[in-house]
Amino acid sequence: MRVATSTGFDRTTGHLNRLQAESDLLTAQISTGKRLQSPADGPADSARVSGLSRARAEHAQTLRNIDTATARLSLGDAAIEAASNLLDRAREVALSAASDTANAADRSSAAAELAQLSDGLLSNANSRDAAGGPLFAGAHAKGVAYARDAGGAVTWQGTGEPPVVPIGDGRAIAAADPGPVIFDGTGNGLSVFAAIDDLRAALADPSLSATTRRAVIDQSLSGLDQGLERIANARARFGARLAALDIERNRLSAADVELTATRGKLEDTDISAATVSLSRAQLLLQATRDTFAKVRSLSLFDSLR
Amino acid sequence: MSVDLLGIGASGLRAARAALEVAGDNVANASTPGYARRATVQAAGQAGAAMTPLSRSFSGGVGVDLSGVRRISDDFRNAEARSATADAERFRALQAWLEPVQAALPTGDASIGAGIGELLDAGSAVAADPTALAPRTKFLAAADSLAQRFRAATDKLAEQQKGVTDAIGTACARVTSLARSLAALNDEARRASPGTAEAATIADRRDALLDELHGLVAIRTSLAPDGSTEIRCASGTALVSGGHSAIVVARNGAGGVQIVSDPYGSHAATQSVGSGTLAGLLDAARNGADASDALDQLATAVATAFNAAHQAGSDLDGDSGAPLFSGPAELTALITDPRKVAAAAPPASEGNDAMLALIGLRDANFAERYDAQVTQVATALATAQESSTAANSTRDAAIAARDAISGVNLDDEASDILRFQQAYQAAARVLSTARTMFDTLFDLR
Repeated sequence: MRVATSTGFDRTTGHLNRLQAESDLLTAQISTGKRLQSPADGPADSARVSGLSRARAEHAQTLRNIDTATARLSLGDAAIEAASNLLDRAREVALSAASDTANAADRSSAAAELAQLSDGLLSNANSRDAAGGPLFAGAHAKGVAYARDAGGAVTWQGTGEPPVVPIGDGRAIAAADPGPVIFDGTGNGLSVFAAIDDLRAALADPSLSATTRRAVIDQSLSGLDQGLERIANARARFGARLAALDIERNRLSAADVELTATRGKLEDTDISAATVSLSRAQLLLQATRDTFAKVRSLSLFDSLR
Repeated sequence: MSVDLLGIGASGLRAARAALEVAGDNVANASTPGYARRATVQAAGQAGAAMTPLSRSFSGGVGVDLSGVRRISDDFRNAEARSATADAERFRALQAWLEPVQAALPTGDASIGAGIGELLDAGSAVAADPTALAPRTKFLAAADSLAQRFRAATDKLAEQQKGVTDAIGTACARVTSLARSLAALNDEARRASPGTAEAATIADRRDALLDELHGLVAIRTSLAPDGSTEIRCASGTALVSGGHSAIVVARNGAGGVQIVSDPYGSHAATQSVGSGTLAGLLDAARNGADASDALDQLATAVATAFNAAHQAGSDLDGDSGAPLFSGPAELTALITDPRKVAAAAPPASEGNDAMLALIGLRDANFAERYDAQVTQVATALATAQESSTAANSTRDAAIAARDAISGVNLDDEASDILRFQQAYQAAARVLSTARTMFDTLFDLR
């Protein structure tokens, strides 16, 4: 076939441009490590990569929320564990003060210890989270959960339920319980603060008859037992929630590894393949240039002298 | 007889010289657009043509007749090359103007979809610790960043729209001016006599103009017997007829930019011009307008939904929530005071019920809608790129096929020059032989 001289030039220019563009793309893919340089390089893959990136960001936030909830639950658990120990001690004090061998001096010192225990219990019930908010004040995020009024009675200052922490997929978990569920009891149950304070008052008052004192001690002991049971239940609930959070954390961490791997498969450059392709493209580019220079230097006009 | 030999020698000299000139022309114009290589048309001289009708000599010819210059060109291959060029130009323009649409829609961590995700994640952090100020500040920053991303994308799409509209205007102006030149050329073609170098030059200029016009807009051409070319648009509207040409302009009409030919006459408006740069530009303008509309709709939906969710809550002071965004035009985040983030259920100031409802907007799939829009543009661009590659190779092949007929091959011309040079020398030798013969005769005394 007859080939016009311009066709030879145009064709070679076309080849050189194509090879140059291919080299440029491969260089960009290798240096950025990303196969998808723009969405048009793979519209469907690119959309999936966006979805996966968003899912990873959501997981990261959920993990932070899980950390927040875990920290709050752990602090709450530690506080009521300490409260439980205080109540155990109050129970021992009550039992020894109730024995027939205890004298007025023993009861007086027991009363003094109970006053200490009552303060300790109040301070535990007013435990705060990392941000300084009360743990057991329900919906209240400021102030204290419990306060002693002028008459010496300890009452709950909070309201409602504490905010739940979202842990992804529309689920949420309670990171604390309102104080009354743990310390006050419901219905006609005796608050643990009232139980200790009543006990202390009865032991501190020498004018009480043994029978009356005995009745108060029995009632307080029953209140303390109920309190200990509520705390044990609360610790079981906290433990179950902590375990659930732990499972969710592990699930998210595993899912994140999976998401990262999938995303890598979709958008990362296969470096070895790209390097080989680049070498090939550059070899062809060089060869095309050399051949072009050689072939085009041949002209019949050179021989016409 | 010897007189005849002189005449024969002279005709050979003339023919060889003309052929050398044509070869020289071919070499000089090897890369002139629209140039088709030429060849001299020559025939053996009619024996006896120089004699009287009554006496004929059968002893030999009377040299060579040079009847003209032929332009070597194949109409079919020319048409193929033009239509392939029109397709290639169409996809080149479409690709070139779809790239800014894609670039206007950010991707990766800076994408609008990621911004929506960040706002929801920041909302989740507020819900986890509803009274702390730090997560609230982050939530407002995320809202501001999202609004900024929407604004930037809208602005860039508007720039693309303006750019492509300008390009359409320029292309229309060029079509008008090419049509005018072709109409003027029609007048010249009617005056030129066929087979002359002038006619060939007019044909070259016409082909160059037609090549360019074809690259801009799909046309149909037909050659009239008087040598003029009639040109019609794909829609059938006459663009050039004899010495008259239409004016082509772009205007905004229903459904976007329209092309109007002869705006002062028939007002024939169209949005489909078949192929060529103009077709690609119109496609790109439509794509850009669609992307812009979709983005506006998404901005409206996002602003409406987030505003409603935020206004359903109450802030740290117990006041009911204000709108998060103004818009949808120039979407802006309105709240700057972190205490004003409405996370609680009214009338409370503490709690996170409203924020839990707000982060439930993840199920409205706004981010997925954005991704789908990016995918739509990316798919259109990828298709344009593939079509462009295919159209380019078709065009290259069609042009190579056209040039195989009408293109100049320098080696061919070099060998022609060699041949005609030798023919010239040979003809000169004939003349000198004739002279020698005369001299011989004169020497007979």
